[in-house]
Amino acid sequence: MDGVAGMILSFIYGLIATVSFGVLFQAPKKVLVTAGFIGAVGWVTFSELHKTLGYDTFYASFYATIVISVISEIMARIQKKPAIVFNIPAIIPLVPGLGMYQGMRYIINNDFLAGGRVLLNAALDSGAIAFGIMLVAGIFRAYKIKSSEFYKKEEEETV
Amino acid sequence: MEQQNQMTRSEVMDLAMSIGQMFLKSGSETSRVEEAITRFCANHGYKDINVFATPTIIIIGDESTSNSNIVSRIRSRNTNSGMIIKAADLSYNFDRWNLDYSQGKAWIKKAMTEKQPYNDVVVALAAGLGSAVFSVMLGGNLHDFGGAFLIGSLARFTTKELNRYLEGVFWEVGLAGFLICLLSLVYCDIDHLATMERTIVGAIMPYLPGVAFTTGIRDYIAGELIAGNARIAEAILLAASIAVGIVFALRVWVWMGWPV
Repeated sequence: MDGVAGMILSFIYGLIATVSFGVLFQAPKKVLVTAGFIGAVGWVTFSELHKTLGYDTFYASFYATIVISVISEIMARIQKKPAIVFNIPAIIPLVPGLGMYQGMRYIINNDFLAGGRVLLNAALDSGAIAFGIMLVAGIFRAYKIKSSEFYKKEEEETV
Repeated sequence: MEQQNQMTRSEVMDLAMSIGQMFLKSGSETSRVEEAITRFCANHGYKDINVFATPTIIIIGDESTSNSNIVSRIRSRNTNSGMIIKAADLSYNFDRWNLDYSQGKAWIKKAMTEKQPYNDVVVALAAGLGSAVFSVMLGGNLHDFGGAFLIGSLARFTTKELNRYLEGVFWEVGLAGFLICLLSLVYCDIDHLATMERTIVGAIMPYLPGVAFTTGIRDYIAGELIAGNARIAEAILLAASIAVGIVFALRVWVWMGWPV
């Protein structure tokens, strides 16, 4: 399925997956709604880029993570909660846990070549996700340090 | 400002350690733990206190020879967003709420022992729902959906119960892999329209260490090399133990001569 119907379907999948993992992580109900929405948007971005536009999983994960982190950081500022409580459930559909498991299973079954390839791919995708989160968090952090009183005071004292 | 000077150095360090423990036990990043402890101590007038945190230990101390340091080992961690929110609330609002040392300790103790928002059954059902959706997302049909839901919930519930007797991640995840594979084999024997691979892949989703791996790489990028090593090692251990569990169940099944 593609087009609008596919997007709606992936939105629903992403929403249910993120909310159920939010419950696994004992998130309060207000956080569940926000995180579910963020995860759904991220999964739609990923599946549109990867399946419809044919991007590599590396780039698709990277761009989807950028979308997720930007919304998470903004919601964290609005709801006054750490960004990690929105981030972690929302990136669950993207993280290549399946690749790690499949790679390990190949290796246990003596297929080192396929195992190495799959594991390396999983590591690269994780790297893309981690880099996306760090990039956005770093930009928001630089803005916060620039405007916060505490760091200014500390800098003056140490200089 | 008056209230800040009421706490002694060791009391501030003790409270900071409790907040750090709350963060780390709920699966927070080490950089957040270090930042929270440093900020808490600095807010109460002790700017010379250093902190070192990895996923398994927190050390708070300073460079002088006369003062004492405190060390805390963190033996078990899980992901708990509710606890992270509470710890962040306390570390930002400690002065605004006008708490003193004993009130702060009592607040932390209450937060740590308070009932979780969702009980074991709800969590097991949520794990099942997540598994089922993942098996469909990866190309499964309705039969895989049902199988993954049943097996995912059952495995979660069983491992939670077993975890009371067997401590350690390896046992929990390895047993989960074994159980999931065994139940999927039985399920696919009964329902011929379900595919084993997709049912298994959906059901193991809650145990996969994708988040641990990503957090490890984030730690590396942030320059926390030891914390990154620990997280990546944990991720590899988890992936290996679930694979071992599944392959072991498959081998037993084939060895007994039952049809795959």
